[in-house]
Amino acid sequence: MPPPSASILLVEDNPLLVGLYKAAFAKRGLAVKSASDGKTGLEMVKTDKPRLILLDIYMPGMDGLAVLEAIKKSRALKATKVIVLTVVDRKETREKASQLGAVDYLIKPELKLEEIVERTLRHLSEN
Amino acid sequence: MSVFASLVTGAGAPGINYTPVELLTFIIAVLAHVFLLAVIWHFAPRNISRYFFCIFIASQLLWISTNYGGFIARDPVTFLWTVRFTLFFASLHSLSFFLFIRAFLEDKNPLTGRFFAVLLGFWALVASLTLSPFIFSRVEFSSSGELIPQIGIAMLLFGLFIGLCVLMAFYSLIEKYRHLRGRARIQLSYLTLGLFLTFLMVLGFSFLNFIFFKEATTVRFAHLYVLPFVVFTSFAMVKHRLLDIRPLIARTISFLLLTIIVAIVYALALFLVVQKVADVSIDRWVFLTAWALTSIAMLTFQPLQNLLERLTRTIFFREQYDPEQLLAALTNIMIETIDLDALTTRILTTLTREMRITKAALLLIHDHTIRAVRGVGYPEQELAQPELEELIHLMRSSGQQALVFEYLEDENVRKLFRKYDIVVSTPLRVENEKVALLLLGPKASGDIYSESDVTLLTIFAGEAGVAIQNAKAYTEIKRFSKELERRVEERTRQLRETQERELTKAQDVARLKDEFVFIAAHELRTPITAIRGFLEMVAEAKKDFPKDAQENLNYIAAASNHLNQLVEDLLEIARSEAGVMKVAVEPTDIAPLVEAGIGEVLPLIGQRRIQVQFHRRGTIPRALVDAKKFKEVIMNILSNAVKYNRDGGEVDVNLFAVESSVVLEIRDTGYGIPMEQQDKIFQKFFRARGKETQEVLGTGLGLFITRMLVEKMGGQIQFSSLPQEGTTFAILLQAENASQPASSA
Repeated sequence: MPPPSASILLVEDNPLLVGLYKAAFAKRGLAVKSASDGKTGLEMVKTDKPRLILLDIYMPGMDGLAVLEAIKKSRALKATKVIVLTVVDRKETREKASQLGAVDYLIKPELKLEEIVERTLRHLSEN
Repeated sequence: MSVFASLVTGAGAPGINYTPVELLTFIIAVLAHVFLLAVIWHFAPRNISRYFFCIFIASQLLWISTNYGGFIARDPVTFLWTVRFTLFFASLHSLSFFLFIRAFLEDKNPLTGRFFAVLLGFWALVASLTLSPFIFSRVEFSSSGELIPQIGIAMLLFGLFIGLCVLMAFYSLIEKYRHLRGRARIQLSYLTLGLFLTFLMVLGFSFLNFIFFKEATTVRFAHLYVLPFVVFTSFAMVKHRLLDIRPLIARTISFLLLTIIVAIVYALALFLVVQKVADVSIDRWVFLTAWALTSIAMLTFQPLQNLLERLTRTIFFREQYDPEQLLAALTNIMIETIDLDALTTRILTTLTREMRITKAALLLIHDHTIRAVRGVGYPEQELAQPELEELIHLMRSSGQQALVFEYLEDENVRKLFRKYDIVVSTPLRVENEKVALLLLGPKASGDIYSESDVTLLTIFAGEAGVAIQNAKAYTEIKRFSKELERRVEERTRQLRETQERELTKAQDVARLKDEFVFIAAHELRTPITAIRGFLEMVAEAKKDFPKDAQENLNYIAAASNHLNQLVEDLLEIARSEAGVMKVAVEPTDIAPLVEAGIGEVLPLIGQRRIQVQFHRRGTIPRALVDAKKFKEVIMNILSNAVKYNRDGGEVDVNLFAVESSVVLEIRDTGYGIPMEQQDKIFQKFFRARGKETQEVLGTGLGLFITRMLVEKMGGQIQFSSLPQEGTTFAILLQAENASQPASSA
């Protein structure tokens, strides 16, 4: 069981889903911080230095892939694990994310909430 | 030895007088040689064999001449020298014979430097020996009073040389015969035939006749026997040129005949008249001489006349040009040149040069105006004056004739001519259209233009008009075709640009469609994900809710599932129709997919006790499908088979191969599809409804999508249904290869 202070950052623009995921993770005892767009998300990564980021792709302004690229380019931040959590199930996007260094690619409509949480925790506990 | 000597020289035959017949044949032989020499020199192809052959003919001619000289020589010294010279020319004859044979029909000089030098040296030695006492030492009188040359020590050397030349010639001949083909071979055959005939005649008449029949008369005509070779070879060499000289020969023969006839008539008349009138008998020789002189005079009259005419012309009419030649030259230019600039320049330069004019100009006319001026000696700009267009108008009235300054009547025109220093103005016409104006300045000699000059110009003008017209037309055509080319290029470029733009637009449209589907996916699925997510969250706490609340939540869950399915189905269709769906078809084993599908559909059965059985029959080859999409297809049909089944019913799944297809058959024992609805089941949003199946949940898109997917994979979907009995769906897929089964029963 990861320590309660392990931080997860959720970058997601839909407030409903933000509420959903925060509640789901809270049930497991994990506090999830959120950012509602790419730019804010990037700044929060720099300030909070989370261990794992759940990243949506389609957001206004800077999209998820750009955030991912920026994170992986920065020497200070590139160790952060990034899981892409999106509705987009295109092969190219999946490949690009993997190429940029995302550790997983979760498609929201296909997976149960429980599964999403499970897989995230698994990545978090892996070192 | 004396026999040999006499054979070589023809002398030594006892008591024969040298008759006029021999003289005649000798003259004929000489003439024949000269004629053939001239023919060869003039008509044969200019290569080295021509030179050698001419030397051969010349040396043969000289040889027969000195030989004949030997016949008629009376004193020993003359005789000695004639026989010596005979041998001298004989040596040259043999040498040139070999050289000619060697070079005959070869393209390049076949003699290598060293060999040639040695041979030449050898000949020089032998030739000088023939004139020395070493070959013919002296002359003696025989018992019958004939002159016989005495042979010296070097005669053997001479014989050796001759023999060597002859042998080498024959060797060359044989070698050539072997490797030449076609026309060359035919030419060689002529030569060989001539050689053979000559040889035969010489052998027969000169040698054998003498040896066997002691008959020496025929020896004297050796000068004739050597002719066949020369004749045949000459024929071979100029055969292909004979077309040129046939008219020449015909003319010569007719002229000769005429000469002979006239000469005979004259001579006869002379003979008879003089005899009768003067009562004097004319000596035979006088008669012959007179006849010969007349013939010569007649024969040489024409060439002599031409020669004298040429001489006088060169002396007195140095300025004169040959009108025929000039016209021919101009016509040549007009035929050869099609470029307008080159044509006009060449015409003007030729005219000014040949007719010795100081200046000439061509004004090219179009539509009664001067379009271009080309001048030699005239400054071009000066002549491009509208005033000169008056000349064009004048042309109309004066017809085709040229205007010459001296004969002008109109004072205005005279002024014009004087101003620009024009002496002759000739119009160049084509039919009635004026094409150009030819202006000529004064002659260099200051003379006026003669009648023949003007005639020449008029004749020339007729032809030149056409030539210039053609040249202009040619320029037009060139310009036109260039313009055409340019336009075509322009058009092609425009077309290509349009194509590219259209392509980019199409790509843009496709991308937009793609993006729309994309964005639609995102927008629709996000709230659905939220709903389902929260439902999931609530699911745990559900058990603590009152019964109806639980049921309500269940309904919400069902509805949201329905919504989700609908959205997914719609997106799938939209993607397929936008052309962005990729179906990756690969040879795949179907059986495991079917088993997985059956496994997933079992939960749907729930409490309804429906049995699902899977049968594989025979070896089933791999089918060309997209595995993921085919799973969807299987799930669709299986779920239908379960949903529309009765409780306790059966679902039979059969997998087998038929010819080049893999068939998946799913049979259910359900309520079937009502007959009137059967043709609609594949339509979008259509859901078959019967009394019993009213509560079946579905989007109505399943079969549409199923058929779409199956057809995208190159397969077919069929069904048969009996109401109340059940429905069977059959999916036919392309087998990977009918002869390569991958899975066995």
